Amino acid sequence: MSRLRASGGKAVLALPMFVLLGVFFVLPIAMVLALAFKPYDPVTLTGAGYTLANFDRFLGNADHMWTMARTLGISAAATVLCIVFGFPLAWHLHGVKSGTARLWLTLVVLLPLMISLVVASFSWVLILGNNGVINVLLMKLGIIDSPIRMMNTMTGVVVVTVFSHISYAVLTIFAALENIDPSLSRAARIHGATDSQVLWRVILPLSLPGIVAGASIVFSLSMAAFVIPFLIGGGRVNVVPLLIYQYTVQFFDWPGAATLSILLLLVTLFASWLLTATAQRAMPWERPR
Amino acid sequence: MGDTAALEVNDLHKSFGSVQVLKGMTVRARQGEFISLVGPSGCGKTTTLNIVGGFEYPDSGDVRLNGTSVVALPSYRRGLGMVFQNHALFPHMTVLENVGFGLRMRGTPRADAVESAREALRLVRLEGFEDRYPRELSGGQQQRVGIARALAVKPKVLLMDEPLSSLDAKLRREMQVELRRIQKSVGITALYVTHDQEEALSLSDRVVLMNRGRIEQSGTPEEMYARPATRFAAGFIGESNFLEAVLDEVRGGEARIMLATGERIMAAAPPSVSSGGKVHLAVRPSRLRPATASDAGALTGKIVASAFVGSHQRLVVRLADDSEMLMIVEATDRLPAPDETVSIAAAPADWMVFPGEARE
Repeated sequence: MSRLRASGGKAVLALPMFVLLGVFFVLPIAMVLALAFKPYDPVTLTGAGYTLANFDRFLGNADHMWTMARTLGISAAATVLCIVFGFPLAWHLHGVKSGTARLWLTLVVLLPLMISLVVASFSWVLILGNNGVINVLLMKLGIIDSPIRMMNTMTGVVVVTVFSHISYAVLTIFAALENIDPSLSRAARIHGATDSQVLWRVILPLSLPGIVAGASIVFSLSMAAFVIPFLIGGGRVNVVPLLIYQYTVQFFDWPGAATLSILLLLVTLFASWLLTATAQRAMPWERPR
Repeated sequence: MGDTAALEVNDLHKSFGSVQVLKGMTVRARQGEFISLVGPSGCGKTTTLNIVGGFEYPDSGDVRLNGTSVVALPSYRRGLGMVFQNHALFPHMTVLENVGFGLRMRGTPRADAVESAREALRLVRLEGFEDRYPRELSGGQQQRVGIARALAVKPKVLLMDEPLSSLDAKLRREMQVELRRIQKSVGITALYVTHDQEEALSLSDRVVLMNRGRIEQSGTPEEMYARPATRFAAGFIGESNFLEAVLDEVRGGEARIMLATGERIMAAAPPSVSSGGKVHLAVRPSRLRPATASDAGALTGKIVASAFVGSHQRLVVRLADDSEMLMIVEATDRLPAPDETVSIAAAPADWMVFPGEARE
């Protein structure tokens, strides 16, 4: 009885958030979903009745499919790089024992999240541009003769995406590392594992849950990124969120924009599911049986 | 075996910041000997084990295995096995993988590692559990896996850091017997750290009692219990009653000692205390008994508490100076009533006398 009442109490506490999510998140998505099945009308914008024509329009359009592939590619690359660079960072943070040093390092890791994405992207223009810090330095040193083009390229977009999202990967991996019993490293070492064997055979597998969580967050955010491809890509790196923007405010093709949104959502969900399912197969010890 | 000890710890010194944790720690273990390091927390027993294991480095001193110094080697090249307090099994590996881990890390071919791991599991009586994950095992089974993992690498010395302290009392006693059986059958040299003196007494060939970074006393369990060298040892190993007293007179090998209550008892004469000197008097609760006419001295007190614990009775007797003595006697039909006045005594040889100015 008391347990029932307790769970009832918890449900009441969760109610405001449920209402908020329902009204401001689920409802709009449902409306977008409905809009995706409406015909586009150049005059009234949204026609009457329901149709699958919007999906035909995009799935048969090679240009748009390439944009989807590009979006996936950029996000996948950014995700992999966030994990590859994020893991050593998290590992270092985990190894720092002094409280103040930890605090400062955590602050540095969180910095990308504290700075407005617009401001951060503009500062990257100063770094990556033809007259930016990197090119000027390389030319002064005589390593290159003419500036390397980084602005308005996929490379530039990936670099800035990694910078903006790596904090999530570092934090989730750090949390996973902190959860690993420190005596496991000792047990591995005393029974004959070298430092690198400890890392590969014990630490890495046990931090997989954190790696997967970080990868999911970074990937989802990268798929939905708008400001970075807009400012760093400079119109030359088209991705689905930019496409949705164009359909919404330039073509006033709202059913088209809605269809693209749904497609983006489905692809993102599928990729995230694939990642999680693969990770779970790699972690049989986490499965109940 | 000649003169070479399986394990030799020589004059270890170690400080953490301004705290001196070890002040000249020396232990030697023969091949096959089971040695316990016992002492209160902070006495340096765990630090000693960590230095032997290579998890920490001493400020000075040496660690030798079969005569070869290993103090500069990393853990993984010392050829040791270790059982941990919290088991420290790898949660992402099956029981078989856990036990075979050390061999695989040392480059043993897979088939051979599996064979050795199975053998180690037989030794700890855990056949049939090979494919389970650690979280699917009970605490006792997990600890058996931990022991098998440590033994599978055929270590020169087996280190154990309070391996039974996470188990409940009944299981702990079972595992003590089991641990001793396994250690004897393998004939392995073992270094065991515990704060539980009873466990140390029941398991070891030799007990090393540590206090404040030094060895307080070491010897066989029987010696440690029967002849504590210091007041600290008398208090830590087994139960003891303590009384403050003054040495009255030494005659022959016997000393007459006056208690704070004014009562006098006879005890074996302590070295290095002259008449009139302060002494600490200690006696085991089981050595106290009701006084008889033939006793040279007795203490009078009131019973303030009594508890019947099956085979015997625990009585608390309050003396005239308000100090309390615990007394363990054979259970009789009649439970002494509280406030009953009793006269208690112990044989002169059962009183332990320590110099009064000794450090605590």
